[in-house]
Amino acid sequence: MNDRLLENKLKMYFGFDTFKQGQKEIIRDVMAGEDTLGILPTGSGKSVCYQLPAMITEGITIVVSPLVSLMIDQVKELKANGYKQVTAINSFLSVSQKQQVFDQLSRYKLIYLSPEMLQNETVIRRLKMLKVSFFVVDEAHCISQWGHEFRTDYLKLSTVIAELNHPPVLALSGTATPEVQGDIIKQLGLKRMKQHIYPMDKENISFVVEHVENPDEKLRKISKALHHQDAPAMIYFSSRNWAERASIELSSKMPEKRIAYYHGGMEQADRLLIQQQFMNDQLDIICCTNAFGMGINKKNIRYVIHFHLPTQTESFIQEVGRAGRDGNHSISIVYYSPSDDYLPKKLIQSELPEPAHLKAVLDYLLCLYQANALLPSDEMVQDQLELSENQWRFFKYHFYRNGLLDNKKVVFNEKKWKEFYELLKERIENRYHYKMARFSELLTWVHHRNCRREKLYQAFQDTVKPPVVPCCDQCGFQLHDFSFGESERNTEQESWEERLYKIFLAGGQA
Amino acid sequence: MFEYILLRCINNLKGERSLAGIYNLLAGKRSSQTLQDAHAYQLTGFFAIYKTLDRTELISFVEGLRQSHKITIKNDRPEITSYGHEELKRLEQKWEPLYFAGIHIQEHISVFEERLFLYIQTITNMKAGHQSFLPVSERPDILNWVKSNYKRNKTNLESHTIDMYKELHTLLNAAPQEEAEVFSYRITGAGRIGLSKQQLADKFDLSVHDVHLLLQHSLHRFYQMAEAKPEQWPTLALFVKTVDDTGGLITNSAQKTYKLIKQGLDLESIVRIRGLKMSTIHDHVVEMALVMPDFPMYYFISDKEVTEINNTLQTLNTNKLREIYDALQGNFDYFQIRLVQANRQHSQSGETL
Ligand SMILES: Nc1ncnc2c1ncn2[C@@H]1O[C@H](COP(=O)(O)OP(=O)(O)OP(=O)(O)O)[C@@H](O)[C@H]1O
Ligand SMILES: [Mg+2]
Ligand SMILES: [Zn+2]
Repeated sequence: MNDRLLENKLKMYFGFDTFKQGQKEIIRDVMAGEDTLGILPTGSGKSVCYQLPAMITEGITIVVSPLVSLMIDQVKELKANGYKQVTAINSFLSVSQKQQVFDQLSRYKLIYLSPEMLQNETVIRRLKMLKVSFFVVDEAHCISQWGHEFRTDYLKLSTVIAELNHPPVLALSGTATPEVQGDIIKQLGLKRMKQHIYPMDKENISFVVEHVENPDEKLRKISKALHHQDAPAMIYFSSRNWAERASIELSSKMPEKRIAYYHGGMEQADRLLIQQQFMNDQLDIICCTNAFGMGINKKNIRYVIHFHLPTQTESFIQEVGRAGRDGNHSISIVYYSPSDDYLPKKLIQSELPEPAHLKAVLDYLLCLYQANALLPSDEMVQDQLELSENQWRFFKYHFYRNGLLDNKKVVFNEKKWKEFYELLKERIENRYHYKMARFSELLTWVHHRNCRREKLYQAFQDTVKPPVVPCCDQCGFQLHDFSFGESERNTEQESWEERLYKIFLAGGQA
Repeated sequence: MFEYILLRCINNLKGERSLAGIYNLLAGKRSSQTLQDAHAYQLTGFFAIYKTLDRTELISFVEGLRQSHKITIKNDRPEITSYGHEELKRLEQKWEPLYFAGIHIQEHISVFEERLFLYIQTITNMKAGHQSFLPVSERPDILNWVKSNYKRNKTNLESHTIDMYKELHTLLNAAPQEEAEVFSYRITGAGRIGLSKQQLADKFDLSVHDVHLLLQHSLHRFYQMAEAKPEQWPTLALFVKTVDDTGGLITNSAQKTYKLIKQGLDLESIVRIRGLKMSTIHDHVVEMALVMPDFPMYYFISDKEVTEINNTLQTLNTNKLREIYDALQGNFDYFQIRLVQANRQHSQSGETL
């Protein structure tokens, strides 16, 4: 298919006039049946790279995506744009709903699947009966244990691909170092992948790091920076407590701003409401943990502020990537105080299991073995053993790799288990050192004395594009006399009757 | 309102029950003890009205009551003081009559709530010409329900929305100001996203506990009104009828079993995990086959086997298990036979859930 025709289709299905960087190149290879690896920065339009081929090719396209909410968002967005032949299969569906989807599988062209669904033999059997034209692995860095969001379920993808007679594979990621890129190719078991690696740097973001004494100073500086301007902002915290506390303190420092917090400990309904208020410009500032962000496609975020640092550069880049999706100027600020160092250390420790956990988990497996029972769902195991999701993920991965588990069945062998215990203890320690080293890298960046842009992307690419906005604090960008400007806002209060009336009878007018 | 409800509980329990008992009641922990107590101490209305209550928050709140001398605590058993009793009378003036009916309707309330809020969001946005919006509920069963009900009513969307407005307005108008405020600011609809509980608390200067309870109270009241007089509240009555996947009709214990089955576990593993007898698990499965519209029979028995048992059931025309078992020459166990029986009964009852 020639470029003109592709562009016509893009216009027809998505309403865009031209392709963004990399899209056409990737689509061409995919359509030619090549296995393809696409590394494009966050928010650069990776979805189109498989959605368009799926729509204009016969057969179905399978998209594996790690987060159910992300998946649901994408399906919603496509449907809202009038494309109906799309569905998502995940563990949220009830048995009868799954049945319903399966019975009409051939009606769809684009099927999103969560990786654990691919462990299910019925699912595979059903998929095998269809003509799968493309197999897409979104957020492909999840397949690498060196990536920042390792998912053991992703490791089985190579088997699934083989079972489906190896349709052309498209692996996509927004944040993958060369090391992780190599690992993706290796773990997918695909020798000849066409690679399209694009630089990660964003030309429209200015970087600032401010060194401060303590948390109070951070709060003071944040309110000084955000006061008197209309600029949607996200502030990242490493704990739920801090997110809540800061939202209260910032509200009292800036009473005219609409501020709320968001974290994984809130009721689902409240989370959805806060997220939508932010999307809807009903909130100015959101104080959040990293539970917020993934799949948030708000275009006009002007500030991404790190009150606390994440544990590695990739997470940082991804979080910063929430800013300026509209292409306009946006700013990343990190507030760093020396006492912050211990927070990520604590986080890393909580992500990794301890030797005591290891013992408890092995005991649990032994019980299952003796009772001749299958491994229950992840949720149940985590509950029972009081492990975090990450910790259990880590164990499960090693159990499968070392043959202690086979298809949910426990395989017992005393000698092997003893060896395994020693081996894993060592692994845990190594892993801890590895993660700490990754955190140190990020700290080096915080203390860097030259251009922050160049340093930040150094591990990913050789050069950076010249920014179209002020570059960074080291290159002379001054935060304290900067503002995006401010306009009048109507702050009139509505009575409950007025609100009800406007929602129901006045079409939501102001 | 939280204080009133706690004092009411403590008063009624007369120092005969521990704080854990109150927690179990409000959080809706289903045990025979909790249910019996609810009846014995006239607290049935409060059953499960605060499922998200945090144990430690309850403890610290009750500690506050103790420090202000409204209650005393002996052996973990709170008891009301005479000052506390005066306070209770004062709060009663303020809050009663309350319409909580926890024990009777609690299992319907959360579905009622999610449907109602998503439905309001849907019709008001559609009416305002906003075709695409992010739904306030993510549960697929709720989404489907709302979608199909919206379709049914979209031909007269204008008058339908007005009807709904009138019903809500009338009911909220009859409620205390605070309750009306909290409820209408919780609504998400055209041009406005609802507030979280924390935001509602900040806005109206209430505690998060009170916000939760005020919302629950509206929902309990609306539900009962619509259930009792559907002709008077026709649009709200839409939300009353049916419940979830299992019809909300099976027991809690069977629900748990059902959850495990959905996760793909076999019955033997479920027996082990739940620590129950196989016969109990069998009872659960049969219970499900009786009430669930799309019970996955194929999990337990093949189509061929179903047909075979069905044929025998038809020819014998009896419900006596023993006879059926013998007629099938011991080729099937009692569980399989009961399962097919239940499935037949369900499909014959023609009840649309
Ligand atoms: N060719 C195009 N022209 C204009 N806008 C586009 C184009 N392609 C995609 N977009 C828009 O870019 C935005 C980001 O797209 P998308 O969600 O696919 O990014 P992504 O690379 O998958 O991001 P993430 O790394 O966060 O997953 C969307 O709003 C999309 O509509
Ligand atoms: Mg994406
Ligand atoms: Zn620079």
